Amino acid sequence: MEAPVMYAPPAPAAVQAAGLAWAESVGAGADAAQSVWGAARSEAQEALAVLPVPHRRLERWKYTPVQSVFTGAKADVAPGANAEVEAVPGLDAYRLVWRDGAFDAAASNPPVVEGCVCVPVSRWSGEQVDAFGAPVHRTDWMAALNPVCAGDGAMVVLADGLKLDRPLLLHHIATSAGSSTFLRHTVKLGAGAAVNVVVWTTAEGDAAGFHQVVTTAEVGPGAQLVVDKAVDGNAHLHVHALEAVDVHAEGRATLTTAVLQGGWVRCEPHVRLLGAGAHATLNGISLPGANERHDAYTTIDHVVADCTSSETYRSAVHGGGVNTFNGKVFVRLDAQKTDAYQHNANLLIGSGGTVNAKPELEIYADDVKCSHGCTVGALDEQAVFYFRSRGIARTEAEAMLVQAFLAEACGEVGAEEFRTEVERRFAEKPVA
Amino acid sequence: MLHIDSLHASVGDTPILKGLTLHVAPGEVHAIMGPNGSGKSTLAAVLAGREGYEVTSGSVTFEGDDLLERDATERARAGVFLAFQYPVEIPGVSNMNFMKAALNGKREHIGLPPVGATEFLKLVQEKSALVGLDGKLRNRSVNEGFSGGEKKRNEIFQMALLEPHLAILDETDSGLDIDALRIVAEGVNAMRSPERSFLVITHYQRLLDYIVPDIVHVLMDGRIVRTGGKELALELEERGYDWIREAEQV
Amino acid sequence: MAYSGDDALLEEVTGTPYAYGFTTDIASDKVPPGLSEDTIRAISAKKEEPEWMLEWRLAAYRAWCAMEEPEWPHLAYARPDYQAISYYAAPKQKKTLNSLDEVDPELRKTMDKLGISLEEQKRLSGVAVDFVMDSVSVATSFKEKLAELGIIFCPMSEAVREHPDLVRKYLGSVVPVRDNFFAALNSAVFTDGSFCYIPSGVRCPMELSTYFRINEAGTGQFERTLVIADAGSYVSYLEGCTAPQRDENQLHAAVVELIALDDAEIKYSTVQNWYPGDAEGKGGIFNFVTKRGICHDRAKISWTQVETGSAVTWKYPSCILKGDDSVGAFYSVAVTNNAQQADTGTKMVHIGRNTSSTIISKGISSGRSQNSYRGLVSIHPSADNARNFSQCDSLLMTSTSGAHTFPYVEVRNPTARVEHEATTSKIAEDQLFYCLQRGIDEEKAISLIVNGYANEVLNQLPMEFAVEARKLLAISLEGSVG
Repeated sequence: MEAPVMYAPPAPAAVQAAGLAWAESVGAGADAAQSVWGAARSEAQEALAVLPVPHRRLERWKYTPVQSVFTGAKADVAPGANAEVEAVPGLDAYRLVWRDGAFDAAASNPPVVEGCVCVPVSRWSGEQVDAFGAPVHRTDWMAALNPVCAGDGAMVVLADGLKLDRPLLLHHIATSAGSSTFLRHTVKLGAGAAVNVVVWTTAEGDAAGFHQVVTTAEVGPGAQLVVDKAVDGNAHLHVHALEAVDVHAEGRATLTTAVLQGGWVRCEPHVRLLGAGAHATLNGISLPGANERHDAYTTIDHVVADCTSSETYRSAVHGGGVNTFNGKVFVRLDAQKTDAYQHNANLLIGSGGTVNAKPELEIYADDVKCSHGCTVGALDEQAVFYFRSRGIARTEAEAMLVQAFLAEACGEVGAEEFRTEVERRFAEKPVA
Repeated sequence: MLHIDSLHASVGDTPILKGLTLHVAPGEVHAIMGPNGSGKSTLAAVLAGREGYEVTSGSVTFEGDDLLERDATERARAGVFLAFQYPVEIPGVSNMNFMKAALNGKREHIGLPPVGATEFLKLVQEKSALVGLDGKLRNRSVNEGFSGGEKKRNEIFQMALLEPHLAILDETDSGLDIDALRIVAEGVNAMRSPERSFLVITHYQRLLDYIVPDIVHVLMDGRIVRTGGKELALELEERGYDWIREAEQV
Repeated sequence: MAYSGDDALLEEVTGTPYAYGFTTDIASDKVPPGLSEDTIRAISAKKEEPEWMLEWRLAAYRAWCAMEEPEWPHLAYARPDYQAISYYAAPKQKKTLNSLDEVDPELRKTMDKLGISLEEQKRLSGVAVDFVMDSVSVATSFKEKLAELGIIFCPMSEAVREHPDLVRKYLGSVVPVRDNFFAALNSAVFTDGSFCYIPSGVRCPMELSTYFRINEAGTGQFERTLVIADAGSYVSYLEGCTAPQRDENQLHAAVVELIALDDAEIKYSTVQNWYPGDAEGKGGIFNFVTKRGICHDRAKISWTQVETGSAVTWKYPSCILKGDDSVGAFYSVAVTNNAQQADTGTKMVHIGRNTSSTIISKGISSGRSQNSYRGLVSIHPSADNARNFSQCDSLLMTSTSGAHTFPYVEVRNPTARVEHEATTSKIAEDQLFYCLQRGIDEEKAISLIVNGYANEVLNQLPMEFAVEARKLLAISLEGSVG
């Protein structure tokens, strides 16, 4: 049974035209490296011409407006100042670094390990790269941009049984004030292999435009993939981070997303469970403040029987901020004995914030256990008072409670340093 | 009343009962004891007709008829009652409606019309008193929010109402404190009669102080390996199961 | 996975003929099929409507022409050909009836078959019945008794003539003409329905009810109901439907508007048992209904529904909690079997302060059906201290049916508390075996468990309705009548 097809009404003519024009402007300048993405690229090109551009009546884009993307900064401009940026202090990791889409060899430190291939695609001379994960580029216009426009990305292949000894940091730094960059990472884990990938996006100073990073991954039988993702954007850079992951029998995929800051951030993990015993954990936390919109659109597709999944997404929204959670769990006809759990908890702090939550279940098998829950509320006043009665100021009390609230969704990160850094950034974020 | 001859039964591909033979006459109380994994619960499930268990050979006759040929509902209506070790909750279905449906099922089987409202109420009050089941619990949904002791008492209440010929008590004492145990045992004892037999499945001897058996069997590795009087239970209490294991070279 | 006897049980269910499938042979006065301004003028003339009503209809028709039929990903159905439907069919008989003796005997027989013999109703429960058949109301009882209290309960067409001020004030105030495609269609061609007005401070002493029937082939049913509860009043309204067996699909696009003024309460209960189509899904009713209520200060509206029929169901009874301290509730059991499709749910819109809403939805899917819950809880920035609790559960009876949940939660006020929970499961083996071991046969066991599952909703129905509803639940899932 195929995954149910999403109904896609066409976009208003003006929107479609604006989208296509913008795509033209950012598609130009894509270099030879992208031919490496073979079939995915040609499929995506067809899709771009045919699919509707995201618009309000498209369910998956209902809460994420795209006008600012299409009217934002366009083609590549000279990169900005060459700042030294340390993504995760204290993290001893292999690293591949890109600045404004260009690979920075000097700042990188790829692993040299038997059985491990880890290179930027721009330096890959082998055959075409497979696309893994759900073929989102065939059904979503925005996702289709990636194989067409992506100039570079990481190619990571781990042989059977290889557990990489250190985390791998894929760091993109946006500096230019008028850039649109597209990265495409590919990760393939052989049977029993394991790796902790940290995907970190940083926007420096005046960086503006659109940045899209797509990570496609295949988790072989019994393999383990942990992805810790953070978006450290700014007011003007639109960030679209998408993962398409396939998990085979007894494999495990754990994806944690932390949105530290950003005016327009959309995170989209898509996971397919393809073999008995496969498991996926999707966690996410965000703290949007005034003029920030953080949206999470997750998809977990239980294709076969005996798979499990667990999702915990939490947000604390301050005045003027927007958080959206649209979680979709598909359980296909033969996916008996599925156990899927999904929970979304949101805090609204101060007035003017907005929470949109749409936890969806689409279930075609019957011997399953699926539950989801969603709550929206404010901080518990009793708890706040308890802090204050111990001499802690209200604002500090609230901050500590928010920290504790968010930390509960951060339990399965690969690297402790990642979690520490995320917590530090949240603690320091001005929210008033 | 009950004749089990050389019964072999499996769960999936795993054989659990390996040639179990047991004869129970009317009015007798038999205790079945044995270490974990010996097949005690499997025996209860097979007798009650639960799905997922396959009888590979042997026979079971109940009151002269082949029991294995009947499905679970028919066995129940014929007079077999299983008091579950972990009684399940059924939200939204009141204890009263549940019992009425069960009682009417049995009455239909023996050619009686459905029970009238006043008659039913009288029966219920009578049997609740027997078991000490609180009136409030009667009106709740089946086992919903009941404590362990209350669930077990509910099982015995149902048994009192349905008046079975063969009652199988599957580890009825598990999870009960001394007081609850005594109340449950009193209910069972009140039900003893020359026309009714009991199979009391238990891991510990303690219950048998209250429900005194006529015959004690030891079930080990899917077979009855020893049979004796109530002193056998006390001996097991003192010495455990190892001595039997060695003796039988199981 | 399927437990033993599953297939046999299901065969019984699909094999059961629709109990209410029959037609009354009464010469009908039909307007030729097709929809145009002329059709509307013809309908309005036949009903002897005042000018303002015709203008209102025409404006709605023009709006409809400019609208597009909606598409939903989880409903697949053959689009009705709007030009092939006859929009008016009135059984030939006298215009006003003072007593039952004047009712056409064929009609009386129909009413008897439906089990709503007015005699019985009068004697037992004192329910006032406003019987609607094929778009014209035929019998009304208890009008005098209600009139003493100042309660108006009459067919919509009568209300348009006798109480134009009330109708003009409230018609379209909760469901505007342009709200959606089917509401616009209904506004243009509605032929009848119920109108109910409860004066200030009056508690309606009996349940008000209405029965529908769709009789003629090719006749869409466009009922329009308006219930107004003035300040401090109370009314409980029952809606129950049956329909005859037919080969071509029949469209039902009704609009129900409820207005609860300050401190008023409206309880609206529906048991819907329309022809669901045959085992292949052919020929059943399309039920596309817009139902909405608006609550003023301290008012309360609760929707309770048991949906077991129709080939395709699309309805979202909703509450607009405009007034401070207002309360909205939605209780629903939706059963789908064979090839039925349901996309149903509710919208709770919190606007005033201290509002609260409760949503309890229990879906049961069997056969190859698809059962979707689609709900919206929207908390506006002005809605201080809003509270919502939603529980949406799905019970899957077969491995070939689908159960889907699409809740939309949109919160823009930080003092709100919203909680939503959903679970999907099948009947547990343990529960089933427990019943079997107590001598309850499988069919009855399933009936008990399913009724228990739906209990929270069924308890919300008025007594007489609850009995019918439980029976209906059993019939629609088991095949044998208890």
